Amino acid sequence: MLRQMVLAALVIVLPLATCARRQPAPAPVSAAPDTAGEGARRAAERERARQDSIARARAAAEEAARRAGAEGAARARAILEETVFFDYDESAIRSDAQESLARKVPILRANPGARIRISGHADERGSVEYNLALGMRRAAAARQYLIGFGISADRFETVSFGEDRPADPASNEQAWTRNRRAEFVVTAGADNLVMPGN
Amino acid sequence: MRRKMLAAAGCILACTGPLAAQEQPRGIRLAAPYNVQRPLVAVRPFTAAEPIAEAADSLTAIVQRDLTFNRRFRMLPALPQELQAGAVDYRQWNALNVVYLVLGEVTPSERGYVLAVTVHDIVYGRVLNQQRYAVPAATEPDFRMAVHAVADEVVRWIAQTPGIAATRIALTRQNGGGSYDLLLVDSDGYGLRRVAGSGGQLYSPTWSPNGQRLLYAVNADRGWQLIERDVASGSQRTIDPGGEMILTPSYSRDGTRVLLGMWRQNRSELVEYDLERQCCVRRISGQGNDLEAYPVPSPDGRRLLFVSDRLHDGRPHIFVMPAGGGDAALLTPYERGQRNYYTSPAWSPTSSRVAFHGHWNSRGTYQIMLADADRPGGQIEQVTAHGNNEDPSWAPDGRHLVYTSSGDGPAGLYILDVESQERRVLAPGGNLRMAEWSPRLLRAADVLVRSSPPNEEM
Repeated sequence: MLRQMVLAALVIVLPLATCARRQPAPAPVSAAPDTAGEGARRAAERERARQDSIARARAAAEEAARRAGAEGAARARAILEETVFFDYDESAIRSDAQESLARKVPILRANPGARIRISGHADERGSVEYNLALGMRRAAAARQYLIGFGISADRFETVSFGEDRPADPASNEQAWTRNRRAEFVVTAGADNLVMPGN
Repeated sequence: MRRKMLAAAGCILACTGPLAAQEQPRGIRLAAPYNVQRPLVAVRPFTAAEPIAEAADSLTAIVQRDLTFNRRFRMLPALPQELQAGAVDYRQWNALNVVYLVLGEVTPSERGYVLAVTVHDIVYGRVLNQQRYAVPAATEPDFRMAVHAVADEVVRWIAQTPGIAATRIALTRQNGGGSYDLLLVDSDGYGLRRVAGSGGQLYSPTWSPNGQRLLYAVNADRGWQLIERDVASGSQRTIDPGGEMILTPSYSRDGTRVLLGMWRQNRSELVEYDLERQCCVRRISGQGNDLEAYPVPSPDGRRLLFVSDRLHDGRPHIFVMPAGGGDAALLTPYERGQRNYYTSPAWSPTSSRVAFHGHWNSRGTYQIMLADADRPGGQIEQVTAHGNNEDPSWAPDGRHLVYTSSGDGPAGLYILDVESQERRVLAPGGNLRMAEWSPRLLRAADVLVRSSPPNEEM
């Protein structure tokens, strides 16, 4: 319904707009005797066209920058929110997790307003309550690792969901591997994240 | 929660017994059923005038089942027709090897029934004991608990220690949508019901020593808090001891304080909190970076069990220390290089026996084990062997355990008698967890008809 109305409005408006743009065309005929006026008018028109093209280029550049910024922000956020994984019953930061956490550091430095909630998770094996503690321990280990790079401790919040929120609900080794993890969510400063160096 | 272990994993002990026995570390042995001769007990259908015959039938059934579930007796499966009624002929019962005969007579009363119970000692040819009890009408909510209390008293007459039928088990359920419920169920599996819920995590219900209050941890909008609930009235209050996370609360033996694992300032500690004054977190234990949880006081309140990974092998182990904190002794077996894991300790209400669950290598499933708190580092008894078994809680008799089981029959909550090794399903459901057995909630003395004639013990 709404779309039909918009279409109908366009049908009416478009010819009017075309007419409006064509209106100056007959002017040279009627104003032919005034050649000096004609030259000034043409110069003004050229100048207007030049200004328009500058504005268009500027807008395009701004748009490109905005897009690049948005892409950078998305990329920064993806790195910050990359999940890290743990070994069975362990809360030690593995070497692959170290690399992942190290990638977050320059982004955290470039975005001092960004705050992160780290949630720790466990696989379904073992005590429900101990797994809650283990999840907290994993979140704390990830936080501690980042603090070790000089990132301020108060930028992190740690929580645990134990075994209650598996990434993969299956009961096999592959699922357990995916479920022993710390997840990261940007809770503040997510709107204007920048990549380092920008 | 889903904790289906592979059937193959459950087979490690069952199918490769000798191999498993070789791998088993020193100090852990598989428990064997305690093969003491159990006396044969018969329950004769309780008699009643016609209008309440149906009530008498259900009273008989409840008592019969409570005695069966107690596991201290063998029950006569079927009574010969000629022995279903009439005067007791000791020779006839003796010929069936019956040692104790339970009789009941139900009469209507103003508020329900009067149940007159008589236990005959067939071997000695005499009445062991008899008593009259007031039981609410079958439609009343307290009906079954009153009958359970009578059955518990019959157990006491025969076995010198009361039964555990007049109890309930608190448990949690994790629902699909991420919400949690607190549930109660009677000890015989009757009346599973939801009593509270939470949109966020609901963990670790625990009973006050008098069985009148339940305490549990929730993580809803305002972070982790404790809820204390009055079981009879359903009224509840929120307790906020602080901290980033609350783990495994447990009442002190006098019920005035709560012991809990607390995560605060990114450190894990054992603390105590005053429930009456609602203040004052007092640190009991917690060293630096170690994870500490599950504080459980001994029955006399002088010692404390707890779980810690302070051995720095990345695994939880169970320790025992003085109640106020101090030197801790390792209770569970430790061998360098073994990937042992022991957690969820429960102190027997009647002895120094400690139930817990764990495994002794990374392939193993979790099994229920028993240790003696008086002998740290001593012999460990493994009382389950198949499937995956976790999170034990003792019945008030220090003989039965309720626990979570999967991979050996339908997943759910089970009850095990550690002496006979007999088990039964309490409540099926893979999402039922964290079961806690209440103290005795009603005693026979509470329903005794005082005007009854004195005991005729001889």
